[in-house]
Amino acid sequence: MSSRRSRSSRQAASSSRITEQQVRELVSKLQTLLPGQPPLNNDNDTASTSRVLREACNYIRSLHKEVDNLSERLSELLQNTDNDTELEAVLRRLLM
Amino acid sequence: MNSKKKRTLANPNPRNPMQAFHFLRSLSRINLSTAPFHKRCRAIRRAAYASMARSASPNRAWSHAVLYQLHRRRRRPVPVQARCKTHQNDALRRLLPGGEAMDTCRLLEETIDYVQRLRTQVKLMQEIVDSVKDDAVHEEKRQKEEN
Repeated sequence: MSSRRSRSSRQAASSSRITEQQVRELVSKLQTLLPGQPPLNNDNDTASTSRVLREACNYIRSLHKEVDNLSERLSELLQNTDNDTELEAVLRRLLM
Repeated sequence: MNSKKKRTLANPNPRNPMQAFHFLRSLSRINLSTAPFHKRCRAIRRAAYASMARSASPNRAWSHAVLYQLHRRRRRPVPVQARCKTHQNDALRRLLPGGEAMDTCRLLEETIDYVQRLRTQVKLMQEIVDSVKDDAVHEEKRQKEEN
C-alpha cells in the first residue's frame, strides 16, 4: 500500500487521482467505526466527507471523556476495596 | 474455595491482547492505597494512553506522539514548514496526537487506528470497572452471610 501511495497530494494530477480514491476508501472505513451513521451518500463527496470528519472529531472527544470518567471510577473503586486481592483476581481472569 | 459465580471477562480486542496486558500491568504498578485520589486518577489515565500507544504498530505516528507527550508532559513542537494548510481537517489534526504534520491520507489512516485503539481501551476499562464492582457486591453478600 505504501509503495502505491504518493508522498504528497500536491503532486501531478495522475497521482492526485490515486490519492482521491484512497481518501474516499479511508473515509468510508472511518465511517464504519463511528456510531450511528446513515449510509454514505456517494454523490455528494465533499459534504459527506466533512460530515464524517466532524463526526470523527466528536467521537474522539467523547472517547477521551469516557477514558477520563473511567479513570476516575477505577480510582474510586480501587481505593475502597482491598486492593491487592481484587486486582489480582481481575488480572487472573483477564489473562487466562 | 470460592463458590460464587465469577464473571469471566471477555477480552474486548481478541486480536490484540497486548493492550489489556500493558494496561493491567501498569495498573498493578500504581500504588493504589497510598496516593491521593487525583494523583491516582491521573496515573490511571496516563497508564490508559500509554498502554494504547505501546500496543500500537511502531509505524503509527500518533503512538510516538502520545508516548512523547506522556514523557515530557508537553506537545512535541512541530516545525512550521511541516505544517499543512487544509481547513477541513484542522479540528481532526488538533485532536489526533501528532496530527499537525501529516498529509490527508496519512491523517485518515492514523485516525482510524487511533479510534480503534481508543474504543478498545474504553471497553477494557469498562470491563475492569464492572468486574471490580461485581466483586465488591459479591464480597459484601458473602460477609453478610457469614455474620
